[in-house]
Amino acid sequence: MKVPTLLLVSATLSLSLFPTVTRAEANSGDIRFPHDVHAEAEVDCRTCHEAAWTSTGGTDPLLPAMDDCSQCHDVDEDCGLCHRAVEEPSGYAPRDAKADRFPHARHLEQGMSCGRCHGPASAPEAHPAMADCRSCHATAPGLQDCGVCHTQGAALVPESHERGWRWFHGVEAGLDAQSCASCHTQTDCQDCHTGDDVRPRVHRLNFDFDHSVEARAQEVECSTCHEQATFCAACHASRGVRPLDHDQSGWVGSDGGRHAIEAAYGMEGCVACHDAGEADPVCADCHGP
Amino acid sequence: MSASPRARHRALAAGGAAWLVALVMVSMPAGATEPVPSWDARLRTTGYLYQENLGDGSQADHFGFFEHYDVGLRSLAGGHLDLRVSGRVSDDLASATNPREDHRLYVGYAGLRWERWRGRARLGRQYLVEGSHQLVFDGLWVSMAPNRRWQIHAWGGAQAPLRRNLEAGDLGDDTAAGIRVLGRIGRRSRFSAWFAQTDRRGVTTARPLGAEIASTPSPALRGLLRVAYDTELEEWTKLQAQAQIQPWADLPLLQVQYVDRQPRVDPGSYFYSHFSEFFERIRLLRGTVRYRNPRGFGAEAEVFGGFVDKREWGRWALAVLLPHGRVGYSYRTGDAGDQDRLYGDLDLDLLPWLRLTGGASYTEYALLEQPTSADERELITAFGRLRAQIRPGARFSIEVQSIDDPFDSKDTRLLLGLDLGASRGPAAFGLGSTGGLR
Repeated sequence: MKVPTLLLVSATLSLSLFPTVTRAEANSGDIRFPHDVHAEAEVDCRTCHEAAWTSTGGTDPLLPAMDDCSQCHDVDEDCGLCHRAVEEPSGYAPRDAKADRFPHARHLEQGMSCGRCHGPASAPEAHPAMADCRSCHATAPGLQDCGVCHTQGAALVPESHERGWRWFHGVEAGLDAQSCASCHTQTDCQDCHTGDDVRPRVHRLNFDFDHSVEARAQEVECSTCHEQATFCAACHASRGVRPLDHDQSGWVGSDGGRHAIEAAYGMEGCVACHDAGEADPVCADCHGP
Repeated sequence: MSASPRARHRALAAGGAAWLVALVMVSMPAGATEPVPSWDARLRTTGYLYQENLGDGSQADHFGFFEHYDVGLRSLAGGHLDLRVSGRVSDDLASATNPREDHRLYVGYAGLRWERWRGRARLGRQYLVEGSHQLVFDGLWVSMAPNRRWQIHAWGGAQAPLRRNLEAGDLGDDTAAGIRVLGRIGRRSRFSAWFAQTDRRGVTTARPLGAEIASTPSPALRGLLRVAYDTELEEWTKLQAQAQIQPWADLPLLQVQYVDRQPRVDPGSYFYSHFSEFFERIRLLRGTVRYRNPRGFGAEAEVFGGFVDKREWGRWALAVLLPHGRVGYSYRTGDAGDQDRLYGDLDLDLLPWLRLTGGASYTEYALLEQPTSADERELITAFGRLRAQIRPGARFSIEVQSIDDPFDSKDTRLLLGLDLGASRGPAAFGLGSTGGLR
């Protein structure tokens, strides 16, 4: 018990030491803009981002121009104050505005603070996560309201969803379900994955009929989604379907018979039908209560 | 006089709920613009009929019906409260020999949301998936994110009754609680660690301590490593590693997975108390290569190996991918029995509002080691479904299932389904109002 605990604590501490760079800094191109220094000096966001108060589109330029900086700084004397490449100064990195219909002005008129979406002024996020938008813009399934912020037809599918996403999305969803909720209104795995006896969403079309082979070979881990003690028995009992091996000779014998061997290799299968909840299962007839 | 454990648990649950409501109230910013409520409802109705051949040569007709419902109210109480309920009602489950419930409540909870630490909570029945720890749960789940890099999940309550009916889990005997910390490493990796405890019938059934890390260092590579150790059983219950590799988008996708796990048997059950010393670990190894060109043609191949103590088995499969379907063959051999399987799937939009799906398989198998010819079985299955979008929010399905095997000899089922859904709700802040029937 000590080893895993130590491993866990060590891993957590190590990971917390990783350096982080805010997206605002990473995307600023040649321009060096220390938000923390400005925030410490209590410079209001509007001083540099005045254009946001009249902006009606997500592609509007909202970053301060050199004239804006010159209101407080002597920009002719010290290029290195703002530019990383002093010899060949350029500007901001090009931006890829996904929410190209996003109206800053409308939100600010409603009395929202900048920090509500961008986080603290000392280290703001240039582009808020869409999950943050959903904290107000809750929607119902099927409303298809992407057009509120995004031009219809724009390439909105995240890069992560390319290639083999279909076979890996469960892992990502388990680690950041809130991110999924940015675009998908399902609130849990069941919304998509719950099928019924005739319209399964996960298993192949004929799985109802030939799943026994895979279940017996442990190829699928049924209990990931299904309650062992009730799910399997629901159909097997009502339809009277018994596993084939139960009918072979010597299944139960004085020395345990074949069933003892099979049980050792696949106890999960026994539990699936024979665990009767709080009552003793049929096994108790021979093995005792 | 000291309170019983059950009374203490209930008091704790009530206190937790009260604390949560108070936190939401305190976190509501004064004068904030309130999102407008929305609602949605979905119904999936299925009726079916089939004829059963009885042992005495006679036949019995079966008619069945079941209904899935899912109803949600969102953005109530100034955007801080959602309500959701989902379940299944059916008349096809009960029989004289096997009395079963006619209703299952899948989820039924109040969802709360507040600004401070991006807080969220759910109170009621819900699915809980925290790392490799999964359960159906009646209680309180809370999520808070102190910053964009860290999240904390915590939960406490009772495991839902196995039958998942309207009865709530027993806080005295079937308690469940835990905590999980989630974080980011840069933009490409996430990790989490969790600790939980579950009791069933007053017995502690699991106390897993787990961790996982998932990383996508480039679009060409994804990976997951997950481990879980049960501090109650004092054994490693799961090791899972998987990777997905595709160097360029026009090259095949390679996936590999390794799982080493302990069988999942509830330690509160009869089986655990009597036979746990016979349990054998399960080890699985799987590899898949898949390629599909932009026109929809391609191929997939899979190799699978399973190992339980001295018992081993393997399977390989090859399939040709077509624009609207797949044809494949798989072969299984080893100690779990042999199997040859020829299979095909079809998925075709006949019209913009009409979709045809189907599948068929021919299988020869024997679920025994070293079977004789008398132990070998043939199984033929076929399935076809037409689904028509009658109008927005209404969909009709007709389906035929057929199975031909040594036990049911010949069983053909006809199923009719009607899916209805509706929702309405404007976006907040007047940024545009969309809505309508779905």
